[in-house]
Amino acid sequence: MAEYSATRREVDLFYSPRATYSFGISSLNILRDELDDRRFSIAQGNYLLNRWNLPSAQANLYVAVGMGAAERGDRQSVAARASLIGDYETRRLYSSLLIDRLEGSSSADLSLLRARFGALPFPAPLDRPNLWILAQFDYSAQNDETLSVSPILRLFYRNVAVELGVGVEEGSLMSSLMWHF
Amino acid sequence: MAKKMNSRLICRLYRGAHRRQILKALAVCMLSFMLVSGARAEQVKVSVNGMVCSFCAQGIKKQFSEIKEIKEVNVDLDAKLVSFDLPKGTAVSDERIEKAIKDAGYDVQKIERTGEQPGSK
Repeated sequence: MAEYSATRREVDLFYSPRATYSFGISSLNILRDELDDRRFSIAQGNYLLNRWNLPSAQANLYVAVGMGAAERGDRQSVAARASLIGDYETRRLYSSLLIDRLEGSSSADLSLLRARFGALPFPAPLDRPNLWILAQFDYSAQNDETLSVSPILRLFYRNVAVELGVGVEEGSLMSSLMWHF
Repeated sequence: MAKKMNSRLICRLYRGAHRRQILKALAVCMLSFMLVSGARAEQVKVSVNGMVCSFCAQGIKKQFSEIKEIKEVNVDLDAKLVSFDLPKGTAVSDERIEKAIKDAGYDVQKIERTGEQPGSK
């Protein structure tokens, strides 16, 4: 998965041998200003705590933990990551909540609370593109508390999902790519 | 009078070119029936709980690709159905199907089989 926006650049590469867990590497760059830019390089494991398979819906609870390196300006330190992700989706509706905490010993800490709500207005068969409309709310609590809202279009086609959105406050474009092999 | 004419017409049909055409048509019908019945002995439909997205379908298709008896799998997200045909002389047990769905991360609700069933259960 790759995510690109004016303030956040993330590239994740995960391998999932089974449906219940995956592991890989995550590179996250938070852009604020030259002195305050933060970069995290994390080796990470994700585990599915529970999945609820319902007749017309699915709900999941994941936990992710990782260790790696953090950089803030010219200072480097060890970093740790812990995340909790919950989602609930049907064929037409989607919602998720992510609590992400990154901690480095050189005060390169980062907390993110991300909520997403989406709908698929016109479900199409699998061999055709399915277009979702999403709203993303990011609450970031570091030096200053910020809440950003982004409307997003997500296009699912076979094993690829592409997202294109706009940060309402910044007016900046954001995009992401998920590719399941 | 009409009966006589009909029997004459039937006699003509069995002669010459008409006879060959009828035999050819019969042979084509028999061959088609043999091919269809031989290639598709059993149809399996699996109702799956939790299968709601494109990535779910990809995961399920990937699991079923490991079962060599199954050549093609169809996933219908709206009907929550995974379906496939088994060629004549092959069998895949309910347990194997349940394992494939479970390994993909989903639950089987029901397995329905139609057509010839070579004692696979």
